[in-house]
Amino acid sequence: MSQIFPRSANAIARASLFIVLATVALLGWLVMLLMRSDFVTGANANIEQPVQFSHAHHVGGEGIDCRYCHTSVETAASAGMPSTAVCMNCHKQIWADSPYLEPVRASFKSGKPLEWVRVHDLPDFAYFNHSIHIAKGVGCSTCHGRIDQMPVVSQAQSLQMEWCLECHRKPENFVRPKEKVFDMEWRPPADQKNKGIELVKTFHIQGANVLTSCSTCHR
Amino acid sequence: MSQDRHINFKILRDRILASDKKGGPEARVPREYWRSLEELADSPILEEFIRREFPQQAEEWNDPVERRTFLKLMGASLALAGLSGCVIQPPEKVIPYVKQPEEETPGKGLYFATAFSLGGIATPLLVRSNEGRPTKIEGNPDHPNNRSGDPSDKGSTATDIFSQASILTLYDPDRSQTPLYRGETRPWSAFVAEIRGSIDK
Repeated sequence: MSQIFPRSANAIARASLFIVLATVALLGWLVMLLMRSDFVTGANANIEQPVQFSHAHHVGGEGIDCRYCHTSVETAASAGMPSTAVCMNCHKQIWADSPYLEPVRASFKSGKPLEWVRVHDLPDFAYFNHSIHIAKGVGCSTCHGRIDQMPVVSQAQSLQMEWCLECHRKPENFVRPKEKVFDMEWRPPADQKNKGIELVKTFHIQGANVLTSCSTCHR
Repeated sequence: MSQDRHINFKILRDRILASDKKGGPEARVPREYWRSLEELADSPILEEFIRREFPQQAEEWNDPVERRTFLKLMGASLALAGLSGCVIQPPEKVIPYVKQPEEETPGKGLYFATAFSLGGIATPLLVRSNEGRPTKIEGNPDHPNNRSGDPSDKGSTATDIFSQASILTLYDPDRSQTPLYRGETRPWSAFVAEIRGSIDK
């Protein structure tokens, strides 16, 4: 019987197999990149709020501590959003007629709360508790970035599980002394590894086998 | 057998003889199965009946390959229907209080020591309230009822089923929405004025 396939069919067959596999791998890699992109995670997007509250002015400029407004960060799972009354504590007297604060005054007078847009939003199947992180030496700026430099709050990190696991697998790379937790300007020092291992011991932070156990976060 | 008049016996005989020939150990062709003589003879009355009863399936079910494809498609679409969950999370709102009550922490419960009258006797209770809504009733471990004489005893939070069920009375739709004075509704201001008078005395 005469040959059905020309000799070049060998090369074509091998080449096409390789090209198909490479295309599949390339597509997979592109999807992986897409899933980590800012578009999908919502990172670095300036979110418009009903009131133009500037953390850069209040925290960076005025030096107000995080806990003045986010009162339950050390005691509860949710850090807490400040009530209108907290704003009016100062703004009954300072900038009392400013047009930027009109929604705040209106809310205070009418009794209808301000509807802020959530910036850091974890999906409902993930449980996050602020108080334990503060108690074990994870600072505000580690996860939320330089809030004191943000005129509009944006999500500084991806908040994806992969990102959480970076610390949950190696907490010694990220923990800081208790008195520096609310310090926006703290950066990990050169010997963070060693200092971190010390702090992990002092704070009694559990090992990675507990920190990365499923039911720790997926309750 | 008056119904046999619409069967074309010639077709019937040809088909049966042909399948006999096709049959046997050497046959590779899949056997054609039939459920009634009318079906084997391609009776037009039967086809009309099937078309009326099962409009879509009259053609499809006769063809074994089409049936398999149909089932494959249904199975695949059911499995892929879950993909509709893969969306970017829609934005949510955070709504705080206008004036947050002191000691109130949203998300964390506040415990109130109270009592509930059961058979004329006050039963000590701890009620957990989330944002002002009572959510769970437990016993008050600090009340002598729930402690033994031992000073190291931390006390128990046990309740009976009447106390546990009493939380439902707080959400009973038949519960009065206003203060009642001798069976007639009165506004809150009337109650406050009355009580103030009694307290001042």
